[in-house]
Amino acid sequence: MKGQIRSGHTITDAFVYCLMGLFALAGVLVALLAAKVCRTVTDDAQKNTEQRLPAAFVRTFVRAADAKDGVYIGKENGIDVLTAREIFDGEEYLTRVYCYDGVMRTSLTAATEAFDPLLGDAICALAGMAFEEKDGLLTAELTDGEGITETVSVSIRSVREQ
Amino acid sequence: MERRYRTNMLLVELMIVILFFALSVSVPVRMLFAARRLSDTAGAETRALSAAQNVADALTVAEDQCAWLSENGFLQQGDRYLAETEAYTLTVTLRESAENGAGALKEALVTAEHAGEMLFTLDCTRYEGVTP
Repeated sequence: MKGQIRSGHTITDAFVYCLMGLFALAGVLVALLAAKVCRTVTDDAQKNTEQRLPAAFVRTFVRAADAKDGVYIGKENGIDVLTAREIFDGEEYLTRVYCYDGVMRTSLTAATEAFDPLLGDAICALAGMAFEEKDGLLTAELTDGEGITETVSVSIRSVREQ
Repeated sequence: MERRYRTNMLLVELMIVILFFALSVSVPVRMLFAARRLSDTAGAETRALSAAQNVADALTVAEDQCAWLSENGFLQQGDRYLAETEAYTLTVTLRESAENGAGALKEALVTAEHAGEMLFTLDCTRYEGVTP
């Protein structure tokens, strides 16, 4: 009889410990799930920003400089460059947007100054940038660090006269 | 006898505590899934906005808008053109005002949808004058 009672207690105790263990396991699982979701959300937000920033910059840059002979594309020092031309106090200045050394950069120089890609201000990380212009539609291909290419098309209302 | 009673009480207490925590956990778990859903929607909106802006700008300069849409993966459904991806659906509606002596107004409405919900509409209008 005594032995039977002792045995019943042992099973109940074991059940309590199992329940506590299960509770602890569920807690750990919830914490892991939260960490995973948090990481995914943060990564997605970062990816969205990385995708949106260079595209928005190029689009805004072209829109702002869209005047006759105001914006054009070309190659300088072997680099694809998007250039905006402005005149201040009778002097011509060029604002260039380009990708160099894994970074999207912009530089403002007088038109008489030589182009040095290292002197540009860094905007954001970008692996590559290529431009094409056809029938007033400028297309920029922006490649990020993971090799994903984002295409940006902007209509140029004033096409540069050659 | 008393030990057995105490063990049973501990068991009941433990089950009440677990039930309470399980109910409490359901709140943050729902929030986590809501955060994930919001993140997915934000990603889809970003991609949809970029694609819609590209389409709107291309349509602004396209000689033949219908031809451009057909060449770029849009399917004609009545007076609308549809392009579907996993994340979003783009719908383009073309309108043209009656041509008068001076020319006609060409309008293209680019609408983006995600999971059956409309995200935004971009209006791209172009005036096409008559060449003398």
